[in-house]
Parts: sequence; C-alpha cells; structure tokens
Amino acid sequence: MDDETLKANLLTLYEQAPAGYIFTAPDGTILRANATFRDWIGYAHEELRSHRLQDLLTVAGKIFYENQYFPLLRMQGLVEGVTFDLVRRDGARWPVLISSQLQMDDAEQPVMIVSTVFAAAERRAYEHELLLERRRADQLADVVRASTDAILTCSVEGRIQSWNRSAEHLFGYAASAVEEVPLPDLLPFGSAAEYQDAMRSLLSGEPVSAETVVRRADGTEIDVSVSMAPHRDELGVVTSLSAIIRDISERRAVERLQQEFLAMASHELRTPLVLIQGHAQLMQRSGTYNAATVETIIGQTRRLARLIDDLLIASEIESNRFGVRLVELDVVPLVRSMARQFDGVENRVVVRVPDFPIVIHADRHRLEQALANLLTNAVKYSPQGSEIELEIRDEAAKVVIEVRDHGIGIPPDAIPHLFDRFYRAEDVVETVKGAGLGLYITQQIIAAHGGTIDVTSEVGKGSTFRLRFPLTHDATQVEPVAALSR
Amino acid sequence: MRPVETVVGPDDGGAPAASPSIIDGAELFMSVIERNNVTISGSGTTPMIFAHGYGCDQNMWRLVAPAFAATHKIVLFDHVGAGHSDLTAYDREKYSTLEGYADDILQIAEELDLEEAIFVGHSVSAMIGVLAAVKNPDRFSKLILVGPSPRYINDGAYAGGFNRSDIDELLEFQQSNYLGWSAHLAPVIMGNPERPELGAELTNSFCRTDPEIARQFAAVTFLSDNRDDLPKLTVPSLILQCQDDVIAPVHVGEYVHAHTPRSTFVLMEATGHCPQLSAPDETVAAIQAFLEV
Repeated sequence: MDDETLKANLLTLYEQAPAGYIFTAPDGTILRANATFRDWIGYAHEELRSHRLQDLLTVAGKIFYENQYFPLLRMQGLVEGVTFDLVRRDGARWPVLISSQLQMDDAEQPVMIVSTVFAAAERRAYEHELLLERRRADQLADVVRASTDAILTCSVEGRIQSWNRSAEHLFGYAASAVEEVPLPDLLPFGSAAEYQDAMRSLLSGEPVSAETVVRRADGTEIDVSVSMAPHRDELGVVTSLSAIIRDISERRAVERLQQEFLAMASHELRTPLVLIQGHAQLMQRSGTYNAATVETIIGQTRRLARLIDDLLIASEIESNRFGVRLVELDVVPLVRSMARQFDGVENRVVVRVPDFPIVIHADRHRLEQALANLLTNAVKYSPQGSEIELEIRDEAAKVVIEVRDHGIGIPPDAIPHLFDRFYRAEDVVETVKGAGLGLYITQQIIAAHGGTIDVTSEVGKGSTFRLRFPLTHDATQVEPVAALSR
Repeated sequence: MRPVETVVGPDDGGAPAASPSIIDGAELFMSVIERNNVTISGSGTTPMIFAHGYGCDQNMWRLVAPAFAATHKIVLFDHVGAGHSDLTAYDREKYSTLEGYADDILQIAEELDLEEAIFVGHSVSAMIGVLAAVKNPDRFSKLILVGPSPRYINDGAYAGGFNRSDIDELLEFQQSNYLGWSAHLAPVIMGNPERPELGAELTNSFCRTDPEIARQFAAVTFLSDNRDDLPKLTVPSLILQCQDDVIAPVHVGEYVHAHTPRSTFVLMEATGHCPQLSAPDETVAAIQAFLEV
C-alpha cells in the first residue's frame, strides 16, 4: 500500500469508524467531527462548528464536564472512558463514553482536544441493570439484617458461612465465633440419626421444617422452629443450605402452661360438683331437709359459678372481647355485701368503710368478681379463724379498696409474676388448689376500670392487695360542701 | 485589631480542632493539617489560602498558585472527602451543610495562626469562604471569589441556572460515572464497604474522591442557598466571572456583586467554569491587580 492509498484508507477509516472522532479547541469549540459522530448527533458539519462539545451534553453532563472532565484533562492531559449522554439534534439522548487527549504546543500551552466517542447504550443498560440488581440485593439484605428470626447459610458439610444479628443473639456466640461452630453443634436435630436424615433430605433437594432445639454457646437449649432449604449451583448440585430459625420458647412455655391449666381447671370444676352431688345424694337418701347441707350446696354452686365466670373472662381477654360497662356506682354497699358473703366460720371479714357514698365508674358485676377473687385468695391462704380486713379509703383523689389478710404471705420472688396468666407460686402449687387465673383476671378487670392493683406482702405475716380507682363523683368533697349548706 | 476569637467551641457545632481516635489503646490526635492535607509553600509572609471547588482537589490551583509563591505564604488544602484528605474524618452530619466546610477553613487558619489571609475560593468554595469570613472576619483581609454562585437552583425571579430535576440527574449521573470511570465495576456494584479506597483510586489520580462523599458534596453544593449570607460579608472581595459559564452564568456573578458589600466585579475573557485552568495568566493578573489596590 502506497502512502496515497494509506492516506485515503485512513481518511475512510476516520470518517466511517465505529466511533466518533472530534477535534475541539481547548475551550471545547468543535473544529471537526467525523461522519459517524455527525450521524449520531444529527448535526451537519457546519452546524457543529458553532457548538462546543459541552453544549452537546445534558445539563448534568455540562456540570460534570466543567467541574471534573475539563480540570482532569487539563491536569492529566488524558481522560478515559467517561459516561455522558449526548443530546441529539432531535432532542433524544445518545449514551456515550468519551475519552479525550489534550494536545500542547512547544510552550506547554493547550492547542487542541482530540476526543473519541463510543456508543454506550448497551453498556449503559447493562450498568443500569446491575445497579437495580444491587439495590434489590441491598433491600433483601436489609430484610435479612432486620429479621427477628435467625437466618444463616452454611455449606453442605455444615460449615456456617453467613448469618444475621438475630442468629448471634439466638446462639449466644460472638459474630466472629459463629463461623467456627459447625451446624450440628448448633442445631443437633435431636440425634445424630435425625440430623443425618435432615441432611439427606436437603441434599436431595427437599426443604426441611422441624421443631427442635438450638444449643446455645452457654450450653442451654432453646425451643425453635427451623426451616432449612437447599441451594443448587449452576449444575443443579446442592452446594449450600440456608436456615431460618425462630425462637418458639415463649410459645412452648404458654403451651405447657395451657396444658397444666386444663388439668387444673378440670380438677377445680370437678371438686365442687362432687361436693354438690354428694350432699344432694346425702339429703336424698335421708329424705329430710338439712339446712347445713343446702348451705354447702349453695356455697359450692357459688364457687362453681365464680370459676366459670373466671374462665369466661379469661377467654374474653384472650380473644380481645373483654370489656366493662361502666356506670356511676357507690362502692360502699357493694363492699359491705362482699364482706357479708365471705364472712363465715373459716374467717371473719372486718369491714371499714366511710358512712357516706363513694362513687366511682364501675361495672358492678366485674368489680364483684374482682373482689371475690381477692377475698377467695385471702380465705385460701389464711389460717382458719384469722381476720380478713376489707377497707375503703380515699387517697390523693383516688379511691382505694384494700383486702388484707394475715395468712402465709407471698415470697418476694413470686410477687413480680403474681398477675401473670396461669401463674402459681411455687411454694403453694402442691398444697393449695387453683387455676392461676384469679389475679390475672382481677388485674385485667381493674385495668379496664382505669385503676391499678398492687400488693405488699410478708411471708408468715400476710398480704395486702390494694386497688386504686379514679374518683369520679368525689363524694368526700361534695359532702363537706353539702354539710356547710346545711 | 480585636483579639482572635476561638472559632471552635461546643456551641458552634464544629468538630474539635483535633479529633481523638483510639487505635490499639493509644490515643492519636489527627491534626487539622493531616485531615485536610494542608500544604504550605511560598516565601512571602502574607497568607494566601486557595480552596478548590466541587469535583477536584488542590491540584486545581497548580497553574495559578505558583505565581504568588514569591510574595505570599501559599496554603493549599483538600476538603475532607477530596484529594488526599483523611476520608475517615468525613462526617455526614457535619458536611451536610457548607458551614461544615467553612468551619474547616477557620480551623486551618487557627491551626496555622493565619491572620488577614487572602482567601481564593473557586466555585462552591467561594461561598464557603464567604461563610467563613462572615463568621470570623479577622482571619481574612480579602476574598477572591472565582465563579461564585449563592444558589444554583432557579427560585422565582432568581435564575440560578438549574432546576431541581437537573441536580437530581447530576446525582444519578455522578453515580453512573463512577461505574463508567472504573475499569472494574466491582467497587461500586459490590459496594465494597471494606475497601472504599479502591473506587477512589481507580477513579483518578488527581481528582480522587470517594463516590459516596462526592455525591453528598454535589448535593450540598448544588442545593445550598446562601443568598442571605452575601450582605453579611464585611471583608472586601473580588468576583472573577467567566464568559459562557454554564455553572455560574454572568448574571449570577452580577447578582453576587449587587448583594455583596465592598465587592469588585471583573468579567474575564476566559470561558467556562475553571479560569484557573483555562486561562491561568488572565486569572493571576486579575488577582494581582485586585491585591495591589
């Protein structure tokens, strides 16, 4: 190829190359651009010469050109592969990558910028996809991070590879140590055989769900539900596993309590029935009316009714259907009547109430139930013959109803749990019958009244339960005014 | 002269002059000098502080600053997040406003015991210099504002030159460009939190900037509104305005001049936004003329 041919070929290459070539003055003014570029941008040669390269960019591109591209070019003499959008004559955008070279004269003064422009629509779309993918991945990573379930991945050999913070909490290992613990140590699946079974399922591609225990760093075990899934590589071989582990110890504890409760409640319901039946049969056989027997039957019927009431309330509370119908109620006669009900051979109930009405907003039936529970407890946990005191006081704009016994008292460690559902203090669980519902229900009733309940107790000396209600119609204040006007 | 005030205190929201960091139990105090990669040169005594704008670092002044070395003490620095500044000193809270950057300049001035310094600020750093000089005028004798704009976004009758959507696009653009710039997409795609320097290194040797920081700096730069600060400036200032500057158009420079007391306006022959690079001689001459007044 002679020089002339080479020149002609180079010129063709310059004009038709799959890249845009632009020569500009140092200020960006376009001196010459090849046919490819003119074709992309849609401007004729003469039109282009009245533009600067930066004028062909989007607004963001212009800012970038001025702030970064040009300074870089001036200082490095060369800038490579920068993403821009050209704005074509028809207003459409043309994604490109621009590389530029700054040519200097002998005096080190810039004379010309030579730029090469590559169409980059596909690359841009690909980068955009990658970015979107990255954002999606970030979102999912956030879900894993924030999950209250422990989530981990491990190799098929059981070597843990990644885990979230909840896993650290659940296992009780420091973040750095989790990796060191093999899966079977954390999740033994009951026995080695059962673990092998689970792994076999997973390796064959089957997910595994189980309720089992996690062995924590401190050796304790926690009830959990586990969902494990196998993950395959491109060839379909299971190469890693994931596990989502939920702490179900609380649910398990409740289940245990419920079972215990059912046994207890059946027993509690049966006892008065047996007594009623026995006494009724006794009277039937003797054929004569016996006042004491009837008294016992009525007493046991009441006991049964209260127990059933408690069960009903507990079920209402559990299903969020529990409510009270509050009306203005003078609690003095109510308390007197409750005292009379519980005043008997076993214990004397001493009542101390003011001789004027104390009015609160209350649901009579529920309030009676609450007081009956407290009085039942007082009787249950007091020696026969000891006094039970029932008192109404007013205290800092509150109405206080106190039930005080001189019974066995409550151990300090039991007090915080006293109002928990199904809770029975350990010291009495064997000796005194009960379903563990009374105080739970009582507290719920008082809370529904806008009141509070607290207890002070000393083992061997007795307990005091204190109910506080907001004073609605302040009788203690109305009274003196009325007295003055008298 | 009034006594020098302490510019950093618990009330002004600035970071302590030296932020302690603990490495292996040894307490190290990073100086302001290291934090901002401050370099000092020149044989004069009158200090001259050069502040680069958004997008680059102190290299921006390499064609202009040497012209003053014989007569001045030249102080160059990188804003935190740019150039060779300490990236670990970057605090998203502090640098969410231009005041954070202005406080850094006052800390540099305090650390070097600079009084009556000549401050040369380009682009956003022109406004950062105004904020610093409003806060502590004694540190400065003259300000040179190269391509200043107090507000880039149009606002009613005020034409800053950009719409909010332009700036949002710039922020997106910034991100895609870090993709484009790095031969290896990994640093940005993968986030690479443990190796932030990777992305910055690949980006460029001169205008090194961490992508996330660059993004916030761009947002702070282009979304700030400092129009109300101009009338508070008491230090004499020179506004160097280029022709055909898409970032700070002539009418914005005129706005700055109209609202800044004791300001001088010079419309240069130079075009674009970086006369210190495109027309260094004209820039030097304009500054010298102003300093001789």
